[in-house]
Amino acid sequence: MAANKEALALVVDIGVGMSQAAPGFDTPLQITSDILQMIVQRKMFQQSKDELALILYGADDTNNELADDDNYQNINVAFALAPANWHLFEEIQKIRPGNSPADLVDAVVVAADHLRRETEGKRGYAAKRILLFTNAATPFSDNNLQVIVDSLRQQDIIVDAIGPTWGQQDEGNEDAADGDDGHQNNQPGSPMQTNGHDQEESASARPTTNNHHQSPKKPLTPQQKTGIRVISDIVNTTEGSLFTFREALGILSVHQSKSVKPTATKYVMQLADLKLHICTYIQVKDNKPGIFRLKKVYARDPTTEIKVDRSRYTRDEQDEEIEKEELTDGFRYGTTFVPITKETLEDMKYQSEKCFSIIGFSDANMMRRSLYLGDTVYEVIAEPAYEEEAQTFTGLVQAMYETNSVAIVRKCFSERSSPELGFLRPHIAHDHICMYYVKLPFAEDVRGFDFDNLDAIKRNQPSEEQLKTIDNLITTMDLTHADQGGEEAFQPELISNPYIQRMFQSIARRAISPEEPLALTNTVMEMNDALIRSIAARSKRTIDEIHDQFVLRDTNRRQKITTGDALFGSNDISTKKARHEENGEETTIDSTSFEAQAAAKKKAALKTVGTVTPAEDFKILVEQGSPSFSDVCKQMCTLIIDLINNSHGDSLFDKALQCVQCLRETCLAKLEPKLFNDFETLLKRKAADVDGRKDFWKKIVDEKISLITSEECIESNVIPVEAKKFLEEETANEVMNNTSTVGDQDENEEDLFDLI
Amino acid sequence: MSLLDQNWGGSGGGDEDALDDNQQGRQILTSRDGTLMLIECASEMFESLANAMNTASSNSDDDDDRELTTGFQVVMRACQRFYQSKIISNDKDLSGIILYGTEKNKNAFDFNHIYILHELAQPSAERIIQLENLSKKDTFQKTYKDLFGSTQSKGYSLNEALWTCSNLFSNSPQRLTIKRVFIFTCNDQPHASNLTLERQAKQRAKDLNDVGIQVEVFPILTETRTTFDYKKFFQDVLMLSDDELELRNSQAPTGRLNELLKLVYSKEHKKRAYCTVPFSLGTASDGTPLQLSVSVFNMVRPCTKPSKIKLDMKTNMETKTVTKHYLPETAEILMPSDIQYGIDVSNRRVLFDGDEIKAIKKFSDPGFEILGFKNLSCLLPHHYVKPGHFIYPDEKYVEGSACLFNALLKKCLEKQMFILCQFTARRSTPPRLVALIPQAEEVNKKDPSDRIASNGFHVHYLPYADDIRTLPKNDVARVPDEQVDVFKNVIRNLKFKYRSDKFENPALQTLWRNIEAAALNKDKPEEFVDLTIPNEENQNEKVGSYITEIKQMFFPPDYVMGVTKRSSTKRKADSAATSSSTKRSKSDENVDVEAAARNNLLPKLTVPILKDYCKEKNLKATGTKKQDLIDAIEQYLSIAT
Repeated sequence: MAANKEALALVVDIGVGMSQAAPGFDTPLQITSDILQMIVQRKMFQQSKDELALILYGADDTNNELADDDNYQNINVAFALAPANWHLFEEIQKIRPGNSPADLVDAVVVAADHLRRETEGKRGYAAKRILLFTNAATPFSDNNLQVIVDSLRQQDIIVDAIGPTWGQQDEGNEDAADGDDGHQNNQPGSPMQTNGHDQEESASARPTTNNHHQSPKKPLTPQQKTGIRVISDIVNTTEGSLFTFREALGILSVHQSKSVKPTATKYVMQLADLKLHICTYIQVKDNKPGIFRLKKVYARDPTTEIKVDRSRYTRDEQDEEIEKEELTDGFRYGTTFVPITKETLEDMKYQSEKCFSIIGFSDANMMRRSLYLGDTVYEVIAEPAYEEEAQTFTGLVQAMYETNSVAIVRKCFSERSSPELGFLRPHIAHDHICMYYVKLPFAEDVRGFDFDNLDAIKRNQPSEEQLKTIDNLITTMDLTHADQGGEEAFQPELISNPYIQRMFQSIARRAISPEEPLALTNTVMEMNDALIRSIAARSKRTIDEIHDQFVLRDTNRRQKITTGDALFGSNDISTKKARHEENGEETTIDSTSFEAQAAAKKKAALKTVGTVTPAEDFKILVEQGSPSFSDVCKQMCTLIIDLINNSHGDSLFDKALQCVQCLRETCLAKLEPKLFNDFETLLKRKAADVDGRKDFWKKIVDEKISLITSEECIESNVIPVEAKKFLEEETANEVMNNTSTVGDQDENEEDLFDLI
Repeated sequence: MSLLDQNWGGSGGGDEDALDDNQQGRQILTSRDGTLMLIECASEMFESLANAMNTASSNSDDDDDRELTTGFQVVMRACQRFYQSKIISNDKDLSGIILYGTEKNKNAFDFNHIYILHELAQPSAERIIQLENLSKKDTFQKTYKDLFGSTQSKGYSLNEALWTCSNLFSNSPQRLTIKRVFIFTCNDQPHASNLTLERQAKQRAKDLNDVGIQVEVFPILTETRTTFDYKKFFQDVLMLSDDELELRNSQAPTGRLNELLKLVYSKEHKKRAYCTVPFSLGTASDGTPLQLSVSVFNMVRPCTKPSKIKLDMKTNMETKTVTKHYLPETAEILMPSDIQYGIDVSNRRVLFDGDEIKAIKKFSDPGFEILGFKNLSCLLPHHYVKPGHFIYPDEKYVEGSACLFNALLKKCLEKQMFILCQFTARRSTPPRLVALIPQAEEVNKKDPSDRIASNGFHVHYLPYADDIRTLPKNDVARVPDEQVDVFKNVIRNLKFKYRSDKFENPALQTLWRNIEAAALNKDKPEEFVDLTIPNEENQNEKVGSYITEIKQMFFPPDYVMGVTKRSSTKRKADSAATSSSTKRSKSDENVDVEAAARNNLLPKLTVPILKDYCKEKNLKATGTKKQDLIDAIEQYLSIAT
């Protein structure tokens, strides 16, 4: 399609009237600025081709093509028509109230003229719009209004207006306003609904995440009344819409990712001798906005994108790099490697043709949801160009629908792809007829796990009383008709993915104020706060009854694991602490990786053990006494393991070994042998692991770095003989049985091992 | 249950604790099984098989199996098939083979007449080829002689053989969850003449049992050894109760062996939780969180294809990848701390640290949080995004979970409701809305021991608004009832009972067989029957008459289905013209394009048509995009826009 973008002039009243508000309330100009920023952000995030212009009227300076000494004064084209970018965004942020009144109608003329000039001779504009932000407080002349409106219509320019109120409706009564304005929002082409998604009702029904203080209701001045009348007139004649600030914020508060144009994949459906042309469209698929794709960049110079080199090495001591030409494809057959040439590989592949063949029909009730496979639900319809086949298809859908049947299908996308099994379920609504296709498992994909009948054990059988309480719980928490107007609550169609919302918000925040920490809000709970509260209130009594009637005893097993986790598994606690101390404010950072630790390190001067001079850092930190000794040790342990894991060959082993020695000395000096002994036990276990680093353990043995014994330190419960044995023994599974060195720590160690 | 199944032959799965995942739901431990074949090489093993055994082995459809005339060959073939099946089902499992009664000996203790053919290790092609040579009619005698010596000896001690097994297990570098010894013998009382040896062997078997090694016996019946009485000796080795003994003695001795002889191409899945997480119902007034604990299982997941690996051409050995991050200009290698993450929005790079990205993804700790209940009818056909899970209560973390879980299940089943939850699978996985669909236990009516479905909740992922696309309505005229009835006949005659284990994956099965054939130097892979290809002939036979009726109802007599691709312009031309040729003439094309241009319909034509037109008229388009072509044509026809 050639015409795929809009030209949009944002015309903003920055006159005195726009900056008046009761104390403690945002001025109309402030709200306008917020709305404009959201519009621009949205256009950028959606990588929209739409072009925008920013025209301020009531400005102190004049900058427009029509201006001469007397006319079109104080109208400033602050940003000429172009796709949304950060420059425009900054221009919006720079908007300040002006003191020189300008004429609204003049501003509209300037905007129309600007749109005409900028789009003339170019193609691809599906529509031209003027978006007018005003509270109509500034006087203007409506002399040539009719001529102007006619000219707008002639140029196909639509005018929408956004303001605090449009008169008749009672702004305070949201429900009424929503009801009346519903039809306006429904226009698919409205400027904020670039996606054409059916989000209208949801957007207005949901409380906005930005809790703006709206101006309290003030009586309209006669000037405003006139203004509103004229604006309504222009808007109606050009078939535009009126929005209140509240509505605009409501619609814009939900981020939307770039919309995807439905594209058909065509097949020929075969049923015995019947061959029908069909189209499949993606109906449901996890939406992963492309804009979220992260680029790895160099921290010291973010303009540099980091390149990744993945070269092949031999898997032996030599560790030699192998050139691409010296590689061949192969498969593993048990422990045998079977080299395969490119040609054989093609021959080995299953040969199939593109197809969509019905194998047979089955009872729809047999299709348990737990069997669904794949990541997509397709809508299947007949290809409209083939009328007779389309009719046949419709007949089949109707017959399947009436017999409650589904069709089992073999589908293959192309000769190069593997065939899959799926099924077609008929769907008939008053204005829609189609089938849905979902993938099904092959025999190999089904894991026949078996679980005991819960009633087999007496203890697991609930009493009549307990069942009654659960019955109550279901009744009080029934969402089937829990939303406004008896509608189903939490309809998937109306719940936005909180991650997508948060990610957009974070990008916006980071882009605008790079120094500030992220505000991590937008949970499903927050977004549906009112509903959740009301359900919680209703079910409160029953929850208490359940608490009384059912005995739930925490075995504290989880607790143990958490402790182990804190010990070595992840350093999130220490990182969090480091951050906390540094920023002096609560940030919810959860991190487990080396990267996270390193990033924290970068920011936290010397609050953490770094990779460059770890032993020195460690000593300084221990001397400093903050963070606590055990925290620093934890950091050190994590770092050692990271060094071992990140080491290519044994390049970092010496450094790691140094650290181990340093840790041992310090633990000895601080009378904390257990910290070190636990760590060394862990290292040994890791060495026993197949992918572990046996060679590093060898180094430890060679250097005779033993466990801290009771001879060296009174606190240790390891006797010298044990320590010696510990080093001498193979790293094989005997270690598991050798409980003496590990002592009562064994169980915790088990969990630890799991974690790493 | 199959012999390949880890739970076979005992109270397997008792090690469930070790299998279970940790709190984060990451899978770390791999559990392996170990199986040792302990095979007697008495002279009877080289006699012809007893009739009972013969029929059993030749019963199989496999021609190759007919050449197996001696017990030894059959056992070797069984081991070979066991290896082959293991490679597919679980190639991480270890197996080994020990012979006793051989002339030569090979073992760590220099025991006489005990020969370790294969140490405990993952199966390989070499081993399988060797076993094939030991079972084939024309090669087995020579191969046997070369390896183990020509004569057989009775002077072995079963005690020493079992001790060798036990030693192999304890020397295994890998931790094994299940350890089994399969004894193949034709001798139901090996130490009849030596009470000391018999006592030692029984004591050793008990020791093995004490350290968790399961022992199983596969009797081989031959011409001279036609019966096998467990009571004589093996009752004590296997620790059978009298009831079990009776059952064993009454069973045909071939059943279990035949199971080993079968070649199975299917992957084994160990029952292991994907994660074990809290399930939160809310908070009581006194502030106690109301939480039970559930284990999450994956019941249906695509079975992975054997992945292609890169081998070093010189050695045919595996290679590894080393990933390095470097600066493009200086080629300096970077550490993770040098890396930040950027997103480009409208030419501005927005930067995040790795931990910030994680923090954005983290919403809550792993677990289920209840939002409420809904009627099952609220689940619409298209409400699906990705494969789900199955949950079952877990008493290890929270005692009493099973009772509350059971109560919820019973009531949800009764009221036809599902539980709507927010589910966070891992720490830095954003939450998703899930429907917990109640599942009652379902048992095969004909066979009560065959459980079709276990009780628990299915975890069904729901889409978010962002995932559901708006598609145009397809509102077409409905077909009258009497015509629909003909389709109903088609459906009725092609109806079958769908079961998820009915269709094997043709691509996967073919690949498995091809790799096997390549590894074992076979000319052709084992045969595979693809059931997913509908049998057109069969279908036509069943519904041909109805299909003909349908064709007559909807299509003109000369209609050819599913062949030509026709654009709408062509269709009109067709109905007017008499020509049935599918290829349009040149003049037609010109008329089409020019007429379309005049009516502003150029964008509706396909690119090839536009291109052809441009070529014919020698028009130069400024680019290859459709709009460029349209521009060129419009310019040529000087149609102002």
